[in-house]
Amino acid sequence: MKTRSAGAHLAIEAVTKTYGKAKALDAVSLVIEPGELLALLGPSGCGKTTLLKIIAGLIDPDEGEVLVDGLGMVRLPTHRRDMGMLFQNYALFPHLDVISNVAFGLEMRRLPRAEIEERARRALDRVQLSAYSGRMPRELSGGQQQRVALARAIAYEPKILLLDEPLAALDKNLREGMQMELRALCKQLELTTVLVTHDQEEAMTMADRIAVMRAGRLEQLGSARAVYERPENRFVAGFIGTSNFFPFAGERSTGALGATIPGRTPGGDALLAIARDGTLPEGGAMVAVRPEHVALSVSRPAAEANAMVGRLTQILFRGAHMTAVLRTDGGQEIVASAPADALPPGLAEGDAAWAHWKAEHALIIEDK
Amino acid sequence: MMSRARADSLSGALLVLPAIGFLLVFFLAPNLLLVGYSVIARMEAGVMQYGLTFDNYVRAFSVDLYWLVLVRTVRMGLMAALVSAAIAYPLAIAIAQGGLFGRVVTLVVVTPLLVNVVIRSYAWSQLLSRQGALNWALTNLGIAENPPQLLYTEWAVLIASVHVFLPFIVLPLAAAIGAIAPEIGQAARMAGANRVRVFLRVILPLSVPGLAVGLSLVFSLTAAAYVTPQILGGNFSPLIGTLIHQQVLALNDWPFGAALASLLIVLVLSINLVFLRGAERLTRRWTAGAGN
Repeated sequence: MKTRSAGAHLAIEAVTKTYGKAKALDAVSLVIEPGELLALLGPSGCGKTTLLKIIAGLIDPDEGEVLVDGLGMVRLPTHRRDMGMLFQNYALFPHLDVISNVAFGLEMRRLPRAEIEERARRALDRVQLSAYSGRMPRELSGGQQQRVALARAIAYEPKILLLDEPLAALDKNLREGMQMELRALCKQLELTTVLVTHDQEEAMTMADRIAVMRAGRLEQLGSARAVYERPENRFVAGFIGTSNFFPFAGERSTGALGATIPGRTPGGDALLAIARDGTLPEGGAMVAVRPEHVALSVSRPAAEANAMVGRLTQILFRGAHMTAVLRTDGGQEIVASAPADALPPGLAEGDAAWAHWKAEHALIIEDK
Repeated sequence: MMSRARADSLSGALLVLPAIGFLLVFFLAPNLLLVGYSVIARMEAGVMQYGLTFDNYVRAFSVDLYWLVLVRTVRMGLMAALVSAAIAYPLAIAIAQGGLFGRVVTLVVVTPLLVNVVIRSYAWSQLLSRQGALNWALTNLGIAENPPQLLYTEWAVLIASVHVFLPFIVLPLAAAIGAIAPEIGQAARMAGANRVRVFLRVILPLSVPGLAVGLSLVFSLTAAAYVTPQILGGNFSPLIGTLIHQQVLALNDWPFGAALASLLIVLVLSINLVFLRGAERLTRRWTAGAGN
């Protein structure tokens, strides 16, 4: 058996798709490196599933091209694209037993009987379901069914693996286990993989890079860490993790990368925040602060530039950490989260408290 | 005091009572009467002799003509069912895919039901007669020099039966195909199946429950039909319906007509049983309620 060195190179070039007047995809371009696992992340209706189906050939784009190792795919029918796909509802063939499901793609390739059996068995081994080869799909749990679907997709060693919300129907604990397992298998087989999900945690757990989409456009593309730590606009900052947002009027742009810029909120509170490229965004600025970067104290912290006073409206115990909500006199809500022992002792709901954070954790982003 | 579950089951029974009553009066009773008629009298030399007798059945089994007609009727039913199935698949797939085209196809399939079957049969007789539209077209297009007459042959009956009963197989098939999750077909295409193989390996097997119902309906309706075979088949190769009609209305031999009708019912029921049980056996492994 030959083993392939790596997955294919996948390029999406200016793909546009319109339904009636609504633009499902607006000139989206994207390059996915061989063996990379990329997540398309966004709310429903953002176009991520449309893009996946265009890669698969299940939907034709109005304009644009999909290139696999430089080869145009758009004119190629689905069954000749040599890709594998996992669906949210597993989509196993209910009339075929497990091993026949896994062998299906190999049979379509008209391989010799012996090779079909050998490769189907090996694919089933990979997902640890060899003992179930004679079962019918309905006799398996959801997790097992998706494993069979995975074996069916990798049995014929596709160039690209497409995952359409593959774990959304599983319960939380199982889902987390499957995320790691699925990622490990994709990496082991060096498969170029595109994952569609609306679950930011799933995207962060599984993907090498995340493409955040909104309304048919790419909002930001980067590693999970980059997207989380340096969101470029309010949508990304709010969609990946949670953020406190402050409308921000900056005093001046310095132009220096990572410069701190002083400014004020409409309520008059002073804020010191950093701008990644040293300038204030033209479309209006916002300051985003992650809840884990907000600290609480009973009295005003001396050395902190960013501090606001208010009353604690909620304190929630959430296991690994606690979440507190502070409401300022101006009506701004600030969420802080910290390990339970990091909260000042004695603070209770209704108490007055100060919320504060460092300038380096206050990101100036575009308000859109 | 009555338990809640018991009260529920009692009210359930009360609710189906009208339906049961209706079936007893209008379905079971007439059939019992029919079977009853076939064993209480026989025609002897033009005179009705009353008394319990099985002579009518003996006669049906011992005269070749009646067997011939029964076999021809069953054959006609099976052929109509198979031809309809072949025509129904593309239509059912179009309907199951929905959209404007699917709705138009639904309309085209269903509207003929609004036209009386007698009228449709006479229309076919016009199309299929020696000077009819079909032969005119065949001659003028140079396809056939001297085309044979289709009217008053089994072919005419077959063509008209397929046309008349087509909706009864298209609709259950469309329902069965519509119930297949679209992702299953997509998964097959992703795995390398072209459209033909998606159909043969996925759509066809998964639509078997609808197919069985449709085959069974078209077969039963064709085998029991009277009007279409009468108008288009003529008297040279009658089907059982025509024969029963002759016995009852022309020859006034109600008991023998009843015996033939009873045989038809038994035959059609048993062939249906074979259809449906076969389909059930085929699909039991994957349609039974979900395991664990």
